[in-house]
Amino acid sequence: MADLPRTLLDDLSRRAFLASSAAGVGQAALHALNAPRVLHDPDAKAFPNHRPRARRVIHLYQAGGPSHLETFDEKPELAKRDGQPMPESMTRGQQLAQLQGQQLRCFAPRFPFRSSGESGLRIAAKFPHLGRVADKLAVLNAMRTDQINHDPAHTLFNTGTTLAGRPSMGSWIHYGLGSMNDNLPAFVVLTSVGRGGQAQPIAARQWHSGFLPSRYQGVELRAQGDPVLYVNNPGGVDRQRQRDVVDAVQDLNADYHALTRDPEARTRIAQYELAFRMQSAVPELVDTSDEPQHVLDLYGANPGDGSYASNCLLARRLAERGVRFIQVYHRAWDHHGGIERAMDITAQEVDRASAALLIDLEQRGLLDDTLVLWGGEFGRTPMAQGNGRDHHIKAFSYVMAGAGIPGGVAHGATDELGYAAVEGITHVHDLHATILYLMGIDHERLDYRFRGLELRLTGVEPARVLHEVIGTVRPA
Amino acid sequence: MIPRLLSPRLLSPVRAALLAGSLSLAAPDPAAAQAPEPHWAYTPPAPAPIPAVADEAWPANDFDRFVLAGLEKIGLAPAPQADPRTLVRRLSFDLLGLPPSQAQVDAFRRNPSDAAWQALVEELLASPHHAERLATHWFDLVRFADTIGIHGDNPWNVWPYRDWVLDAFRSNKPFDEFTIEQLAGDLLPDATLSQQVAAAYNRLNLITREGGSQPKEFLIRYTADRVRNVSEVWMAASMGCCECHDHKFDPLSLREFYEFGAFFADIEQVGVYQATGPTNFKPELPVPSAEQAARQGALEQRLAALEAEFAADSPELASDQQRFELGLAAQGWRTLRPVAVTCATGGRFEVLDDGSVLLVGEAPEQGTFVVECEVPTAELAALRLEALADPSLPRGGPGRAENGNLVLSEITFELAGEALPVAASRASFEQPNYPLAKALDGKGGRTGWALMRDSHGSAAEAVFDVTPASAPRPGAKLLIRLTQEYGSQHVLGRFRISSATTPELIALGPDERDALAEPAATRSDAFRERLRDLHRERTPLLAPIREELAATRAALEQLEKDIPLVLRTRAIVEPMETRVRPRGNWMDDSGPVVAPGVPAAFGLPLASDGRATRLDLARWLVDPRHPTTARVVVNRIWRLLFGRGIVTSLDDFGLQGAAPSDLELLDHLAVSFVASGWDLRELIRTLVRSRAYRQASWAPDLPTDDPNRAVHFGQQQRFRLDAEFVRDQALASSGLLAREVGGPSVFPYQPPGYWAHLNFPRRTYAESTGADQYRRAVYTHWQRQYVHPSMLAFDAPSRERCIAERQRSNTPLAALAALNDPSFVEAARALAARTLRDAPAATPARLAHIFGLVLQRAPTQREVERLTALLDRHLAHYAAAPAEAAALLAVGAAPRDASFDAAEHAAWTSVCRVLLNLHETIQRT
Repeated sequence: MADLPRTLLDDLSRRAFLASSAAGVGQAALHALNAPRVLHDPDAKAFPNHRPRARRVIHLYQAGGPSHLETFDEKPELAKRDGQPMPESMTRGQQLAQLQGQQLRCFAPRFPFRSSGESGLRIAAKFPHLGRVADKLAVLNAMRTDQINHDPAHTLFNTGTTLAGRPSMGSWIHYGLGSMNDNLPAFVVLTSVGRGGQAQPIAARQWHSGFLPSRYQGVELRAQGDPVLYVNNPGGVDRQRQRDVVDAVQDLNADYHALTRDPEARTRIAQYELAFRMQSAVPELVDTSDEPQHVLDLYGANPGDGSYASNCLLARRLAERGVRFIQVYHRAWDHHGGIERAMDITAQEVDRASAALLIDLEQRGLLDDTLVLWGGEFGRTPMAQGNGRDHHIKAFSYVMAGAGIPGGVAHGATDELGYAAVEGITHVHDLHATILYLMGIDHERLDYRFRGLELRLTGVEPARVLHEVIGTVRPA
Repeated sequence: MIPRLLSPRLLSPVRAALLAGSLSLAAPDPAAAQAPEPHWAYTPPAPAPIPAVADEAWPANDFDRFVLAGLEKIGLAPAPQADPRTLVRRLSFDLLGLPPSQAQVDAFRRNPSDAAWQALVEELLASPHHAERLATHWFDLVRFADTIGIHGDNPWNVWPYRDWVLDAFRSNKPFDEFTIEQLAGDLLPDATLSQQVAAAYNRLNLITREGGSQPKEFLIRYTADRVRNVSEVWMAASMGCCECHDHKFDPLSLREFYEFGAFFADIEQVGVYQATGPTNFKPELPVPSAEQAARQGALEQRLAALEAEFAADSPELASDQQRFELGLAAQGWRTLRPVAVTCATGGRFEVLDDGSVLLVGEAPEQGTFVVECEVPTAELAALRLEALADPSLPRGGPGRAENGNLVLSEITFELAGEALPVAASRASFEQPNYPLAKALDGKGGRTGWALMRDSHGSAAEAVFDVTPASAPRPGAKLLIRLTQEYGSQHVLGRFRISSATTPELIALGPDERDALAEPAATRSDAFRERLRDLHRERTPLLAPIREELAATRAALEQLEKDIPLVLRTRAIVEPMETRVRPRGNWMDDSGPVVAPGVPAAFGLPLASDGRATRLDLARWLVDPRHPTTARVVVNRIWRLLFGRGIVTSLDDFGLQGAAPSDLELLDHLAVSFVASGWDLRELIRTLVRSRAYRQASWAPDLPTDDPNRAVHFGQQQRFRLDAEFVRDQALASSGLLAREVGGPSVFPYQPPGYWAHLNFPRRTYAESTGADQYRRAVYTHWQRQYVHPSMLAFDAPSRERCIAERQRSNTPLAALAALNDPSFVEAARALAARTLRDAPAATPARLAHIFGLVLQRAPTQREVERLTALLDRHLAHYAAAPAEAAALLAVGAAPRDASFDAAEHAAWTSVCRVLLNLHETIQRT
């Protein structure tokens, strides 16, 4: 007995491998692994816990903080009071960012609004394409957040807290629901940079899995270099050569597993197979040469340029391939100065493609079970900062579409100057709860035990599912 | 991973007590909570009697008796001893993070005696690489990283702290001193440089430099970050929960959280930093090498002598100065009213009554203002540009950017069609990192002279010595080009040009020019001093000594620039006020002001004389009666050597944490550790010498395929190497590894564009060259937000917070990194070259060589056949595809030995890639 393990490896060279042929064991093991193709996750919780309305999320993340006053929240009174002091009663004792300690004056909205669609939803005229899909949009005009600077506000928006080390939304959802595909990551992040404002940095914390197992981390899909890091073969190694190397690795690992019964060896074999599949699935995903011209035109996409439009097109391709959570960052919305010009540029960058994605998803029958979100980490002040607007947390706008959510409706309201949400106030955590609800998850049940606490995306304060926004009946 | 069915939620007696109403959530009164039976972690470890065991032959030391008694109690026998190769690999990875040599394995296989084992243990404990292995773990705990962690995630100066930790582990610094120096090295009497470097620990919290952040909020965050880290690293307590409310389960209160925070209120810091890094996250401490310190002393001495010489008076100098002052007084600035001002990219200009120019209407994003003037006299010697305030400008100007700032990227002068060079210049104000010199460097772009002060633009002047080679004709055309390429309207809003006929004038600021007009008798002492200095700086009489002074100063400056800096912990006289913040709300000032204090639940009063300090805190932590510190340390070392802790929740010894598998064993180790003088090496030695450590990592009669099978803490585990050692072992077996210990961080190959989302400033990744490319991963630059992707794939943490136990995932991204990261491909190529060079030419012999280097065993017959088949296929392919072979052999910067046949070398590289990707290669068993 005592001698058995000692001999296991030392005597490896002399050990007979019974009936196995030279090439047989590894391949057999592989086939066994591939056979069930169950996307089972040993850690995943038993979700959905109710009938889901959406199977995937596409978050069109307008990073930098778009002005609600120049997009979805029309404020004629603010226009009337252009240049006048802000009522002190509104702003006294409240946190401001760069305007802290400055004289506060009203700054008229830069653009007119238009009634759009059959619903007559009011949308800034700078966004004619979103206007055309207005009847698909549920606008939340009474959003609030707690964090007034970009990095902490993004962290709150993505992870529900500002403490480092917490999982992001995409990781939570992947953890709760598992993956729907077996050769792409379940949580994919794309980013583009606009020309109309300063490109605030984005930290990888925003798609980190925090204390969840690290396989739930978001994976970046890049426009430059390897689309997924290390997905391309090394120089001088073509697909066949790579296959040969992987096959040999698999065979030797299968031998090792047969000998040691180390379950991690078995897992590693499966992961190498998945990795090799990703090596063809990712290039296939980003190769948009099969997209007809009219689709490219719909988005205004020039594939491969890393633009927001190209990323929206890729988001649809990811959605089609069963990716759960797709986050499309556009780093462009931090408009402290020259907001009129900057919005003009940024609107042109995102308007057409955002609308195109909804149309395209709908045409492919995907919109019904895809939740599309459009918005940033906070809003902007009704007060002038030079000829721009500062960060603002008391009010901002978000858009939800798809997942059977009734469109053409604006929910909640801000005061007459667009300073504070006053009606139907929606905290970021309420949005989280709603997103999870649509995915079939009760946000109070999606928790994870960490340092003695059951932690969750929506935190400890009560959060509210926006039933009045999402409706209760799934449309036929 | 905690098996989900066994959720502690169901098992926790505290939960049950809570539900039954026998424990109150609202008021966790420490005394009440402790009353019936104190929680094990809040009572000091007590020595336990050495237990009796049935199998007297097995234990190698007292510690083994505890393990064996524990196993016997549950009816298990210890696992048999692992085979010699496994043992040597295990020991080498555990103590060094590096694979052993084939020779080490062979020697132990020939003589697997206790004596040989103990000799091997001593050999590895004495290796400098042992410190690197321990430091890697320590850095996860204290969240050591090269960047600030928030927003732009800028780099800072911190690597000397790494060297300090390496030295501490290498010299086996007792853990109590190790603790005291990190928490309070700066407060020790006559603190040495080394102790001050250690105290950089207190500066490792995340900081921000994001504009618009409120300093008060972030100062409170920094304190909370420190409380969380100290309580997790030394106490395995989740004090972080108390930032907003009393702890739900542990007897820790909101007030105690802030009392604990008050220990750190003396740290000199700011809430929102301005620097873009790596320097100027102040305060910083220069850390010269011995050689640098000596040279610095010598230069300072020489400088003092020269300065004395320079300052000495003489009648000759006195009369020369009189002449100089008369000359200056006769001069003055004369406004040049522009004839024309244009800018091709937009903007209209108005010339005001005082001769200044105002930019009206929409400002261009960027642009070059071309100012045309006429030279008033032939004696042109100096020019002045004033950037002026104006009520029409944003925040009063002088620039048109939204904050009133501007960036003058470049200024050039042209006289009568000829460039007019600038001999000297001076600005009355320069924004940090935007000196006037950058407007004269010929580079343009986003660098230049800028004027931000207190987050506003500020008026200032720049003066230029421009004495032309030949006197100009009065009325000659003078063109001044003001290039402003920063963007976002960082352009001059109002400015004025003036000229003077003596270059000396540029040395005088605006106020001083006025003072020069006053009679000599009424001049202040300070102004007299100033004129004296000005003269001495200019008179030809002192030219030689000035030259030597300048050279000496330059040498000293260069030296000081070369001296590394580290984030410094320095106590301020009046500690910052610390208040309880109800619900963690930084804007709520209603809570009481608190003094430093420790949580009562730990049952150990704090000794202090007056207001307690970080030093008192550190001494409290390493008080032999402290209930957690020693237990926390031994538990974590146990986990490094066995695979899981005696207390599995390494960072939570609280009521919600796991109970110790064997409290008596934990306490035996903790008490012995303290009694040994906190001797970490002795602790490790005891553990690895034991029979328990040497057990096989699987017991033959247990079904090991079940990942959830019951595991006894005294059994050996098998687990994947940490990210750092995955890299290190590949470099080691390939022969590429640079074994130098210590020094600045290095930059291994990283995919281009990986830092694209960083900004302020934008950054490009510059790979290290030469030996620095092949350093151990403990030296890899740790970008908190963008951890090296290959290491991230193997679960390297972001180091934003304390990590006591890394995850060990097994993902396709890790497979892709090991397959395709150039570092691994290059290692395979080098391993192949090493084999072609060193091994006999036959394929089996070469394979044996590679297996020896990577796995320290011979290949099996099947492995030989399988890899030979691969080799032959690739040999044929690469012989027919020389370009592909060349491409593969070109991966990585290491020179290629061209004497090897390219196809053969490429095919062997494929074989080596297989070896470096094997599960067995990166699995510690």
